Amino acid sequence: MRINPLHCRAIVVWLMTVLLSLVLLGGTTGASAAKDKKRDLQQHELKWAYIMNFARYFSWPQSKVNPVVNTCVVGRNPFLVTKNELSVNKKNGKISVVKYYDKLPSIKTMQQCHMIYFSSSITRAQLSFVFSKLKGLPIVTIGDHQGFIQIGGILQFTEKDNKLHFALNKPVLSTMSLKVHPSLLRLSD
Amino acid sequence: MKYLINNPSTIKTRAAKKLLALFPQLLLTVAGCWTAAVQADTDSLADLTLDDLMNIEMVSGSKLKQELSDVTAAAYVITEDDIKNAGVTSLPELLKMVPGLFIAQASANSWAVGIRGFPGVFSNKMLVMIDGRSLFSPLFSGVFWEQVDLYLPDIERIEVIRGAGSTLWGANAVNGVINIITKSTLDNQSSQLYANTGSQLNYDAGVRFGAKIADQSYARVYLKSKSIDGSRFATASDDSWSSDAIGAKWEHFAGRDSFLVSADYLEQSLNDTTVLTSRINTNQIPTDNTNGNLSFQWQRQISTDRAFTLSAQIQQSERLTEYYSIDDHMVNLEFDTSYQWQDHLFSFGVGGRSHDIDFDPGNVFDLEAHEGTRNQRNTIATTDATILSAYFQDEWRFASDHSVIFGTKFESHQHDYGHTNEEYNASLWLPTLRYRLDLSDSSRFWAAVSHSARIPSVAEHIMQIPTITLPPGSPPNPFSWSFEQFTSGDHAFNKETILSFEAGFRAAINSHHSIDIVAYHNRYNDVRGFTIGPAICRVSQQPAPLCALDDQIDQHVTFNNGLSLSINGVELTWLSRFSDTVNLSGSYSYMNQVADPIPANVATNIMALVLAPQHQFALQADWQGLESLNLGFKYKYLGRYKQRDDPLLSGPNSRFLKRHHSVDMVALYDLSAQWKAKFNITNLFQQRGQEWLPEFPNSTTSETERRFALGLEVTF
Repeated sequence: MRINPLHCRAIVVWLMTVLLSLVLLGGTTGASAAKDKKRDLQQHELKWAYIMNFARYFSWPQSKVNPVVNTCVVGRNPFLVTKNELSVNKKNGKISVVKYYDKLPSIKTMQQCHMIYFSSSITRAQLSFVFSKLKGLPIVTIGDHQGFIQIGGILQFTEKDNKLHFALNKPVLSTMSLKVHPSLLRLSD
Repeated sequence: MKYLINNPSTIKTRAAKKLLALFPQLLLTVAGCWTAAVQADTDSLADLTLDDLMNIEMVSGSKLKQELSDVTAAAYVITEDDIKNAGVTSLPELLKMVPGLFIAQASANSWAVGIRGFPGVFSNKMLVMIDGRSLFSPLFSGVFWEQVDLYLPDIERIEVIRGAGSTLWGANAVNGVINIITKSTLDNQSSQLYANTGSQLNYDAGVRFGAKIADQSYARVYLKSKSIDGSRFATASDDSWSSDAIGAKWEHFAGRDSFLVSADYLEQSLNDTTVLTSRINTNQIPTDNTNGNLSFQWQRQISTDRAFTLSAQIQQSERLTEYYSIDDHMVNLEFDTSYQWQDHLFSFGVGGRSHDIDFDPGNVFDLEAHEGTRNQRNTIATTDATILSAYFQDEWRFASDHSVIFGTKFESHQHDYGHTNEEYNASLWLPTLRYRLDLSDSSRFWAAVSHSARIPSVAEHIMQIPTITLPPGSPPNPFSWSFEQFTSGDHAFNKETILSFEAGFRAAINSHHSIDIVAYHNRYNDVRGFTIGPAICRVSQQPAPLCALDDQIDQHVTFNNGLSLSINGVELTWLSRFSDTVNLSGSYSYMNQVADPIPANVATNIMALVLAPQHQFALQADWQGLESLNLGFKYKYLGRYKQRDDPLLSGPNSRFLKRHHSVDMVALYDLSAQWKAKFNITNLFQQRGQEWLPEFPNSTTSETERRFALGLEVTF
């Protein structure tokens, strides 16, 4: 087979690219592990830490007798964590159980959740419907859709100066049979 | 490479076979290791207090897509951040970053675009949609790109699906779909003002106001205007243009119901250099475009597992030139519903779309002849083009990690040609079968087989484009009558069909890197070729030279379905966060066209060549070393064209076939929380270059040039 020198050049360019990408891939994973993790966080990693943390700041009507906090992740899972979540919070003894639903589960299923995170694959039209159905129940709905609170959500992530903040729907919270720790209100936007 | 994919038996050694068998397992192990590592990281974070967490700085502007797309197709998403960081002012420039997509600037106001081959200013094998509104024009089955003049900061994302999408989106979504999704009015409750100017860009300015107008009701309105100079290296023509647009969007959320109303109006004035025929003695046609649309959407969530959407659109567009005009009224109605039952997600929809097109060819074009009569001139072609459609799809997760998607669309097309009472009818089934294997939460493999078709455009049936006009006796016209050659539509021209096979793998390797690999084989049948007709006398309809004294001689080169070909390709994309401050992404696509032997009675021309480079490579880097400064660098390589030896591409056209490198740079600077400045350079190392070639006889394409632009944006 005759080899066209022009093909050779294209192949060399391509091979160099592959090699470069492999070097970058290998190099960065090693390097990043050694770095300070706190400065190396992506938004979704930080969000996950927030969600795991929020449970401390709420007291659900049954929480004195039942330390289990059901956290539901609804929609396409952005957290890149595996689906076996059961963890005990060392500080307050609350047990977090995390359940994942790719698609919108039934209202009955969602009523079993204490906190629900809606990922961006859930549309605002769907949220509007869910909020109207969960109205008055002590369920902390969490999302990062713009206007999440305005259409009836409880807690919305926001971003300020590269830091993750959150806003609370205080008027709706005050009507719910859910106790909110004052420091959460203080920390919110 | 092609053989490896199509014929696994060529892998001869036992070791290679073994390795291939182990490949999915290997992928699973690797993916599992990474997710476990990520898990460990996030667990330790959960022990921090909220106060601690609120002090952690995130890596911002990351190009890494945080959610792995679960579309069972080759999909690429241009995010809001990508749009912000690209610093460009037009949509085609934005699309340059998509692997497998070919974009070339034909003039200051026109672009040749193609997905997986078949690019062109009048590309007819892909679909462009804005918020579900199809921009498809049955007149030529393509899109006037200059009319897609959007308020760019209001785009939420652009999903580019490469490959057949006909089951959901219908005929003409043959090679891909570009789906532009604008932001919800909930996103834009602030106001914004921007202004850009540069070397070719006289100005581009826009303003948007967004507000809550009532309880659960939000609206925004925008106004924009731009003026672009003619290309410096378009010696023979002036391709300058200007465009003004205004639009509004309103959304209302009322529990289970949500409503959306949007409207846009656009006015443009441009010098068109792409549609020229041999009858007119000019290098550009002054053209005025107007386009107005009104859309309504009602979405009802019946329960968490059931929803329907009813949408209606009207659109009126007019292209008015000194020589010809097109007037198109469109009405579109659609009803879509989805139902989740156990492991099935059923989707079902029906739709109707009607275009009422008035085409006044002036003396630039002729219209097709009645049988036994001559061409029509100065007659207005009135065409009703109707599409009725219904589709069904089931996405069935039959095991925890395995899903299949199967479905089909049925479409009935009807064209009524009022000026001749001719009709065209076609009914189509457009099925697809897709399989998805979730190897882990962050990696998946998919494969698909689809059948699609492209319906002939109105122009391909009725339009006759004069390509050569020669007075009597002027060489090479040997006759003593004037001679005219046409590229002519033909009512016998029928649909082109495509059978496509695709497979892909995509994975977020960890939170730093993701990759996407796709291989495809597309088989095209009944593709447009040409029949060269005899020279005949226009009045007597006798073979030349048996003409009367005051006659003229015509020759028609008519469209036929005589060609068939295959296109094989591979597309690779990777996204990496190289360090805290550097994001890198790259893409490579390879395309190989294998044409079947051309039958003796079929001819080709420029319009029948699948002109796309065999190799395309792009590299993009973003650096955020300083707090408020973001630097972007983009390199794109277009390789050689397979048809470089084709006689049609000799002479001036050969300039276009050169390998092409381009480097673009952008600097974005946040002056304050409200004020942002940007500076960008396009074609940094290239003074000038031919990106595209003329598709119409007598038309010209402009060379692109090195350009810079400065911009300022304020949000309040």
